[in-house]
Amino acid sequence: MNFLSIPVLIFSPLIVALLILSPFFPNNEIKIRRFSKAFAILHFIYSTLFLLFFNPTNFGWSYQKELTFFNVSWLKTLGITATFGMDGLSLVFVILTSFLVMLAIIASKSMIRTKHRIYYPLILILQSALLGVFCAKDVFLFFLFWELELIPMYFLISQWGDRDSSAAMKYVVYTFFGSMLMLLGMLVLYFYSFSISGVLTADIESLSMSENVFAMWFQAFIFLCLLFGFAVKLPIVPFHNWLAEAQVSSVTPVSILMAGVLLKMGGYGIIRFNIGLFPEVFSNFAPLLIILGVVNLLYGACLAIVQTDIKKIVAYFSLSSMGLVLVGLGSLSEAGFEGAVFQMVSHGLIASGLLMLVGIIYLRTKTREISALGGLSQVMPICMYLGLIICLGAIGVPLFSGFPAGFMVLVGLLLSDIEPQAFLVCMIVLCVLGAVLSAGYILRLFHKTFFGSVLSQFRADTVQIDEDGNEITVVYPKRGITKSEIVVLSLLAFAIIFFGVFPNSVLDIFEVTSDIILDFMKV
Amino acid sequence: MNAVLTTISEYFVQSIATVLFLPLWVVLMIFINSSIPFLASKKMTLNLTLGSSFLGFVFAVFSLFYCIKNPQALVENNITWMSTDFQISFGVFVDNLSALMLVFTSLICFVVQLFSFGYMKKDESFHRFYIYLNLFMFCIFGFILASNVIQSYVFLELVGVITYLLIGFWYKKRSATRAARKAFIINRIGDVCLLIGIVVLVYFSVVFNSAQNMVTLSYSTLQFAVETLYSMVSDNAYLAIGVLIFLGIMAKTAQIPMQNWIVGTIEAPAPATALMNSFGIVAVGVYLCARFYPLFILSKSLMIFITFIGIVTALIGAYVAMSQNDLRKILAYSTSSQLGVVLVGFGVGAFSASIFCFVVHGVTKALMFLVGGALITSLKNEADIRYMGACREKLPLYAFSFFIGAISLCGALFSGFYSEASLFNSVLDFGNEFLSFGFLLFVFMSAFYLFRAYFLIFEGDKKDDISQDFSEWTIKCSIVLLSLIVIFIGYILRGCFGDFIFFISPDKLNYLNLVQNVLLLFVVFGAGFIAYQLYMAQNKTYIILKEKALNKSNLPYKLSYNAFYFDKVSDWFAESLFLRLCRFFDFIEKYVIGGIFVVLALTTRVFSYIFSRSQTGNVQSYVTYSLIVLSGVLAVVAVLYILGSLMGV
Amino acid sequence: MDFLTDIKVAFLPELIIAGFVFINIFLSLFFNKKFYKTSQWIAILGVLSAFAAIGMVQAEPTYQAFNNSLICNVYTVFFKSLILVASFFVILISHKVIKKKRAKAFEHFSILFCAILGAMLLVSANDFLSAFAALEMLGISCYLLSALLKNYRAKESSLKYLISGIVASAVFLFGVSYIYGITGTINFDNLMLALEGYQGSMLFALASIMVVSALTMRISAMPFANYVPDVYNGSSYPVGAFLSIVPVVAGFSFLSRFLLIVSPYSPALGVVIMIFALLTICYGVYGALRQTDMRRFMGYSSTIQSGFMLLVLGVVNAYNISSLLYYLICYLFMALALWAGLSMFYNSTGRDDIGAYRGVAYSRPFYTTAMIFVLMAFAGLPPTSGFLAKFFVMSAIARLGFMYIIFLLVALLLMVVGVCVYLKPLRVMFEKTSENINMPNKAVFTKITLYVCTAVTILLCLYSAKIIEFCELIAYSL
Repeated sequence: MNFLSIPVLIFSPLIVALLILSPFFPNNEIKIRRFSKAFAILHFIYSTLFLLFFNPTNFGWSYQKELTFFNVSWLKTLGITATFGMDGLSLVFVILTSFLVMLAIIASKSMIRTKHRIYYPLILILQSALLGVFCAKDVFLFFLFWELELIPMYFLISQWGDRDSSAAMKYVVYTFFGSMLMLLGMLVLYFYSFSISGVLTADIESLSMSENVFAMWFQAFIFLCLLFGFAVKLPIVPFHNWLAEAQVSSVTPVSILMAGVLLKMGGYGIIRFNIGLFPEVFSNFAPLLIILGVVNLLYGACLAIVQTDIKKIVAYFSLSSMGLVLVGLGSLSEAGFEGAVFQMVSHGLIASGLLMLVGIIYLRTKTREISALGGLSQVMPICMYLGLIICLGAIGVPLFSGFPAGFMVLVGLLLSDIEPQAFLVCMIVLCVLGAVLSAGYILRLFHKTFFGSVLSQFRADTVQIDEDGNEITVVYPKRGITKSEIVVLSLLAFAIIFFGVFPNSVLDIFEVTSDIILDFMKV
Repeated sequence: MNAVLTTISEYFVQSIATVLFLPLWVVLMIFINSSIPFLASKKMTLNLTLGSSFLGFVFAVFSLFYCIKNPQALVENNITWMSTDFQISFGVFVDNLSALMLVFTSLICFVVQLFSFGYMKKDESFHRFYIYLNLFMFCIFGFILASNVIQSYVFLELVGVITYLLIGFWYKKRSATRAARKAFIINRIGDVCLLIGIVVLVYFSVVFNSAQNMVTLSYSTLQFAVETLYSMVSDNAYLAIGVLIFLGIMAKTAQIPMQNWIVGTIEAPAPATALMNSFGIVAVGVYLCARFYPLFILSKSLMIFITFIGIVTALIGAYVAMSQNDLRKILAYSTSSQLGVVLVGFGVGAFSASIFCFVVHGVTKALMFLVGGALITSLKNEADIRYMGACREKLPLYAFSFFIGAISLCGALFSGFYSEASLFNSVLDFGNEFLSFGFLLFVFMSAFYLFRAYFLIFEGDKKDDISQDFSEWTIKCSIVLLSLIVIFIGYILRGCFGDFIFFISPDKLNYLNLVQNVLLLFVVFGAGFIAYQLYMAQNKTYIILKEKALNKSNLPYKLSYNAFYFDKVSDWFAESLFLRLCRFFDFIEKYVIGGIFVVLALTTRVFSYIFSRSQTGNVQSYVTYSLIVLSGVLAVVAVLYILGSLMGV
Repeated sequence: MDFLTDIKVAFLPELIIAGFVFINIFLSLFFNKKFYKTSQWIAILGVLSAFAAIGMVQAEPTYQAFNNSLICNVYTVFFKSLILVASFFVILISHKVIKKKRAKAFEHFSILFCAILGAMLLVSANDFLSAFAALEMLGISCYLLSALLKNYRAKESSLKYLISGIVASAVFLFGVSYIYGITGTINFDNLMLALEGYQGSMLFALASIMVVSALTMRISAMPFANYVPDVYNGSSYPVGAFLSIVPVVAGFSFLSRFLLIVSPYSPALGVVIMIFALLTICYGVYGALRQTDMRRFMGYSSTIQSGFMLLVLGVVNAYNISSLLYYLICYLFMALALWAGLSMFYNSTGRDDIGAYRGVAYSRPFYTTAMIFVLMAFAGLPPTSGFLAKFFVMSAIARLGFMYIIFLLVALLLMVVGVCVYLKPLRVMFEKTSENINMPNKAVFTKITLYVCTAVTILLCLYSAKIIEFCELIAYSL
């Protein structure tokens, strides 16, 4: 298995991006697009190879590689190394990232019409950063990749969206604000573990060994600093304001990546750092996290119900779904934990699907106002059927990927050690209330766009595309949806059903990892 | 011969999972078939579908045979679906009840599919309809054969989804999609209540059965599990769990206050409506109730709650059905009301009588909806019974079969007689006068609206031009078949319930009690007589009475006609209360949470203004600023030193 | 000859630089504007030969020359090489300027070499007198350099620079005189001996604060940083690059050596420096937000960076100094890269307002990529050395103890605003425009500077283990 190299996995998108940017690459949009698409598909295949050779019963990090520069560790004297590792948990997110980036690039064919030369490299750089976050085994390496994601995302939001750069700025400010506090926490953690153990190291595993000797309030301080950074990303309710705006003002493939992968960074961070390094503090904070999660869930759902912009509905749906992740993590039980991770994967697929739907509709109708839409089922029946699957997934119908996650989280919540049990039951009741509300707004979204009488301006054969004032008449296939869009939607729909029918296919991958993390917590 | 049959039936029962996956395969075949434009064949679609449901029927019959041969023998096969702290399995579970349900469900599916060919032939979405029907079969079979509670829940929700799809089948119609959404959401509310109950059950089963590595909440061990639960938790908690689970059943069986979605089912194509109202989504509720019966029966108050909900729904449904003018609405409210009575049966402890009642109601209701659908199509989509009349002359088959159905449904003759009588017997045995009286009232009202419908449609004056007969053979065939079933099934099955389908111990159904039967018949025919007088005979007193009753300002009439304003109340809750709350949150989101960022940005701007204003371009001021800062710092440090020395450092 | 031995052993580079000052002045008498290109080559030759001479000096053990008024050790050699590297690239990007001012090309370089000489002497200064002389040499050359464009703005900025410089020098002398009064010596070695066992007093603290704040003039930090944007605005791009790097490097070298001696005896000093640093960052960050002129923007930007570097000097220990050294190396390259990039743009379009950059990303993607990396480095974002540099600074402060966390927190929050500052030019570059920006590819040296320095900026992040070890080595040698 020597051909499975994590550095190659992480850095190949970056190298390809630089290659496309370099003056040697032909400045031809078709070539750029096809090249990036081909690369993305290859990358996805490569990442699935990791899965094929992955031994789910393996205890600890299955793939591990320290990256050295001419045989020198990255920051050797500081105990900081460029060590990448992959366990079950990372693997799940790595494959999700690779998959969604592939879909985003396929979707870009119809969504992106300008500046290909910069767009595709940015997406690929973003991919590198995301993969790095999920594979970093060193605290500061993690932080490096965490920050690396910021700049490509800023341009992707501001340049190809609605030209509303304030949303992109908001995104950057929120995220950077959070990550600065996170850095504070990491630095303090790093030096205090040094002062106690005498070994200067930033390796996650080694750090996790020395935590218990800290004073409780001190651990809580670091815990909160770290949590703040992840809370902005996840997002947890008072810090979520960037999400809806960034989603609305960015173009579809970018929103797919944002909702599909970027939000998961927060959840992943909470698992790796807050749970992995501070199990004791975490168990003290767990009820608070559960409450925050429920607030997320209900607040997001309530907001989604009254939105008139369909993309905002999806954005608040994401907010609401992430609440369930928080509840699952807070429950501190195996079922809850696995449910939370499963929910992240499932939400990645479902939110991407919904955003893709919204994007397809927006591309053809030039509007996202729910009152201005209707009757699209008659123009795009295939889109409707695929959309139906995705919407059912979003509602959390069984045999779609949303259900196992929710179910595990609910049972996990009840199985947790938190007292009193009445509190847990209340939380469960509120969680399922969120499920009812989700049916309300998702069906509203689906019905108002696809059903009803068809509006006269949407005809199946010719669609007016208005980009920068140029009126281009594009002849779409008779079904009203292009091939690349069908590919994206049907792959997502397939994945949603597949993971819904075979939830164990995902759960098995990270089961051992979650056992390790939870065992650690109980000790 | 017998041995051969046993072997065959054993084989069938062991491979019963085929029934589940056959419809899925058919879906795939139909999909391929319909995607090839020049090969798309409606016949092929029909044959495939009929084949799958017939095979299902064959399997079901053999399983039933197997169950009869081996009393109390269970067949259970499981595979793991999901494993974390607990294992969740999917599997098949065949016992007497599921075998019987499987027989009837597949039978009705078969008949409905046969009917649909004629009914949907000209519709452009023909293939889609058959795809839905097959998906429905998959879901309902999966539900019936479910080996544990969680699998039941999974397929129960899926049945809800298929119902949603069927109601919204003609999605170009606003009313259809609206009804579909409403049905889905109301069912969803019930589902999540059920889900809470199930989650609690899973919790207890995980906590108490962690040593035994068995399937979580399997039906074979449910009895034991609920007894453990009952001994562990307080009475109130147990009641709460029971009520939560029952709420799910209430939503599915369209009980008060979640009954109004059932009217929406009429938006679906007629065969789909028939399916939904007979062995579709409502059957899911009843079957679930039967499965959870061990849980319910342990708590007295829970049983009373069930009875109460059942009888109230039965009365309200029947009362509402009395004044409706749309034939399909009458039948839909009738479903709600009849299922209420079935639940009353469960509540009073007449387990087998209830299921008997439900089965008979299912086949009868399927017949009536099919006849109604065919009739309405023949009348150029006229569904209002006030504008029909004297259809018997042109459409004798429909009239005859409708009459059979009506008679059976109100318990006067045929199959309905056996089931209604045995249920009535149990209700009387229960010994509550109000309940018995309510039951009689229900029978009276049911008979009244059924006779009213019959008279208005098939008798009397001809009010409209009747178009030609719907002469598709599949339609007639299926109606005749169903009529025969309705006539004979009760007689055939009367021994089955109580002997074969029972809870814990066999109890003989008592349907031949002379006093009761006479009372029942008297009530039914009394209602028929009144209906006749009101709608057929030109008796003056009755006409005045009718005028008075149908006065628009008459409160009882208004309540009945508007279905007790349940729709309006729920809309008010949704619109005025909930949406306002959401808008309030939206306000907070925009102006409070969004405002934080604005304030931050403004602060930055102000700071940057101040700092850039310091750039006067004037070197004197630069030097002054620098010196001010410097001397300020020096002064502070000096003061601190002096203070420090004063404090005696 | 003692004097000659000193030079031969330890101060050959300075001698070479001084020699080239004279060569340039001499040549300016005889060569007319046709030979302006030669001047650049000669300057490069001068810097390179000085750099080569650095290799020959005795650095270990510390060599005390000229009656112990100047020293030569690993630490000074390191700083001198930094100054020479910076000067080398500054000369490279001066191409366009000397082309414009053909007649004055040699003059330009002679003043530049004077400034380099002053900076190098400041690095080596071992007593206050030589330090003052070096400061003035550096200062006066810089005033002249900023006046070289000879337009109204240049003259004005030069005058402002001069006046601010004089005030700072006065404050410096004031502070030094107190120190002399307390200890009776101006030599650092003697100072160290004299202070041994000293309890510290208010007067000493005030004096050291005054010296430090006078030095903030050179490192463009508060309280003497007000002049910076104005001066940069008036000078040409290469001079701006020079001003933003060489005095800063030299100033930090002197400041850290001074603090090493003084700070144990004046406890308030550390906090004051940190407050100065935060004030500097604050001033730079908020001031830069509204700038539209790129050179003014650069002025604020170098203020921000100096603020971060000053922050670590709050407590002087080996770790802090090594993080300062690493920051200086990174700052050197990223500042050079950014100045090169800006001057490249200015030379081809003749505009230096931020609006001129609109849409560059589409006509010059590779150039923009380089600029993105450089600006990210300034903002402290990975994967650039700016990130690691800031990271070290932060980690040095975090290491100091829990009570310093408040400073750390403020600095981190100001970094958030800093990101907004550095995103602003990037945002403009990506704005959509109809006009196609034509940037001729002729400025080879500038281009080389831009890309090489950008590459170094990124590589310093990746291949940093050795560099940090090296920095620590040097810091420990102090």
